Amino acid sequence: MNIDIDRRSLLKGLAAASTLTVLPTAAEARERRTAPPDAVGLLYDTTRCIGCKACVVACKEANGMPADTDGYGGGLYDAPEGLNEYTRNVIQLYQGQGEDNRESSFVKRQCMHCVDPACAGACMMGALQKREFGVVTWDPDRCIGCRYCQMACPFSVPKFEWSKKAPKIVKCELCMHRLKQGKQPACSEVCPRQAVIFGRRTDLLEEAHRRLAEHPDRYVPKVYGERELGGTQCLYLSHVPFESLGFRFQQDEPVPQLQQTVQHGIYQGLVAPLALALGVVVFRNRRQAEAEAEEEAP
Amino acid sequence: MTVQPLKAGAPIPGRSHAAPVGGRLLTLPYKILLALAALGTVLIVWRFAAGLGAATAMSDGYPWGLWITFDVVIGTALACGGYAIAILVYVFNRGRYHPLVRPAVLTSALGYTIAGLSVAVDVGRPWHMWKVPLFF
Amino acid sequence: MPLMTLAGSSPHLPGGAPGGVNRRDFIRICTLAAAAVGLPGASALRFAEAAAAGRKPSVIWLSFQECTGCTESLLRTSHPALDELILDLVSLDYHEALLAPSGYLAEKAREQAMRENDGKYILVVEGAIPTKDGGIYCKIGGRTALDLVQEAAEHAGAIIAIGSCASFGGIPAAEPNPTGAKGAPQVLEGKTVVTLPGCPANPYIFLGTALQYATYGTLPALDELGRPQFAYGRTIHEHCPRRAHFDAGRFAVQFGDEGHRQGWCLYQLGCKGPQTHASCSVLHFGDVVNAWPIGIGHPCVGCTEQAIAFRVPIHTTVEIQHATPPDTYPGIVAEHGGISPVATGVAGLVGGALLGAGFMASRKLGQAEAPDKAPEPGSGEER
Repeated sequence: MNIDIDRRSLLKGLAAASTLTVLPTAAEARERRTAPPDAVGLLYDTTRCIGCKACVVACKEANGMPADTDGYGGGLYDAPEGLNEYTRNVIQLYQGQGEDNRESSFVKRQCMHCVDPACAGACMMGALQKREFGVVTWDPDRCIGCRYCQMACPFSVPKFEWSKKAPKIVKCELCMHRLKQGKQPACSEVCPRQAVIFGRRTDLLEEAHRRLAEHPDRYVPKVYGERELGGTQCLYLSHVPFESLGFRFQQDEPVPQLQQTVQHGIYQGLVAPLALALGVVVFRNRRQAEAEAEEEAP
Repeated sequence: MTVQPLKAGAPIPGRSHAAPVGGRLLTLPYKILLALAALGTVLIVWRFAAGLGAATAMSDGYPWGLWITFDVVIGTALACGGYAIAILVYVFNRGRYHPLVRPAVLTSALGYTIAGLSVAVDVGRPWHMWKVPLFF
Repeated sequence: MPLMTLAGSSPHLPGGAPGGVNRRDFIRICTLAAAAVGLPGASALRFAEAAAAGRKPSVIWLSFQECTGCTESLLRTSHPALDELILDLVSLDYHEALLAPSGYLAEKAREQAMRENDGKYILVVEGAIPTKDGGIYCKIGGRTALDLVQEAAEHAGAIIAIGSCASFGGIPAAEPNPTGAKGAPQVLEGKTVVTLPGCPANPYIFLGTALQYATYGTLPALDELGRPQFAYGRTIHEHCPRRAHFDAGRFAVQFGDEGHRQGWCLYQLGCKGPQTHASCSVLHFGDVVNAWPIGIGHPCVGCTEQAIAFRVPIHTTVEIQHATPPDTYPGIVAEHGGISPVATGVAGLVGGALLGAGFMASRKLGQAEAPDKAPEPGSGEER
């Protein structure tokens, strides 16, 4: 196919286009988010948890959630296999594989309330956002149910109400309705061994490091959530490797970092795309006029 | 170049000649596709009546399924063809291959329309979709 | 009117506490009664003082369509003097089974007691009240039960319906209910009736309620059916000693099987515990440890619940209303899918095919253009 263009015009066009895309990106390499000053969270210590599931029952009660008696609940028990549309908080059991591996640990899973949440970054409607106390809450008035948040979350936390006609996104919100009354979340309040405690993120980090310093032989020497994926407000101390507990990601880079940089760099206010379109149209019209002028001239 | 007076119905010089294709509308392939479309409509109604979990095999483990692939990805890819042809023909080609543009833009319009409508079916709370331009 | 002394009980001894027991045992009984109602320990002393000072609440006990089981449960203890003791904590001014006089004298005793304690006596109703055909199916002294209970309720300070029959009709009200039997709250509409369902009701629940009223003039917190919440606030399932077996999935499947012998959960044998509000699991009967249905190896029959008692077959299982987690744990799901080689291959093939087709198309277009290159004469087309 003969593409009718001279080299100069082509190069001019390409230069214009690339400047428009590169400049904003260079100017606003997105700043790393830090935890808000009123950030609160949980500290869960696997060495203290006895797997009593009082936190599971308390969460259901505090949030008015039905029991999940399908599946291996057999109609008798509330037995979710993990987080789901009926379950915002679950206790799972890790057992080491193999004869010689006697490792085992309980782990409490709920929303991690990340400092730079992937779900909030992915949510194109702003339904999931970090709000008061740094808690990530879901706004039913904005959500369109696209499930982008489910795809984005590195902890597979947001769950969708597949069985309903007006489905919601269900996840732990640190009992925001209780926080507003000055109470703590139901799970930390009811825990009989203080395996999960509630407090300000700064205080919890201090306590976690104190425990690591006091009993270095007891724990894996890391507070999960201090830096991982940009930091989370729900922190974990464990006596087994965190990967075994289902925490797949160990890197510091927050999930939305690259995505937000590109998205807000290139598409901010739709300025760059519109400018590009305008540039192309102007370029083409000018060339059309030139061509017609050449035509007219004998 | 002098301008010739136009006769009604006569082709405009220098432009592509659009003319009806002719033939029956309800051919056998058309009828088969019509049946498929009817089935699709019923299934769309079923999806809204029974909820996404009942009408699809999507779950928390697979929150996005074939629908996103067929509808959004392929629909927008089809639509991208319209952009590409338009840029190539109008900008680089100076309009010489203009006959290519009309079918491409038609395909593009269909692609985006299909993608948009099927997203409305795929998404769990489509009644908020009008807010997309406000909050995007 | 002196109460009949029951055979085998010791007479009053001078000094010390009534009934011939020492003061320590007396206080202990009062403490138990106070604890049963959830009152602080100090109340026990007040009960004891009031009783010893002779300020015992007057109790008018009416018996209708009943088996006298609730009375028997009140008297059935292992301690020989306890029955008298109970009778000395309250002043049982009328009780058909225990009264010394009978006939006109008994009725006169009742009327006198009601007059003397107008507005203050505790009316206890035991047994259901027939309402069909004007209530003629139960008459005492020529008057229908309906009439008697309505008159007594008018002047009572507190009304307690003891036992399932008085609470909601019980056995007499079971299908087909030929006498139109109803419970006291249903015939005394508009009045606050404390109901103590159970077949029989646990005597300490009655004792605590009556003593609280007598000492403080108040009734314990009641639920929407008039049942004291301290006793009926939880289901048997929620404080059953065999709950750990339920949570672990260990069930007795047949009477006498291994599970049954091991004392496992009786849910599969039809235990109504999950839907029955009662305190039997913590307050056993007759002062005998484990003297309650599940304690002796029989599923709870739900005798306190109107929807269950004498209605749902004893060995039919019921639904669990508030399911809680079992004694097992879900594992960690750590595997995640990736892009399969098949998918990559197919995508590559499709992509390649598209590229190839595009290339061929562009070449064809180029070839098609070549013959058009020479502009036709006079058409004005350029290039």
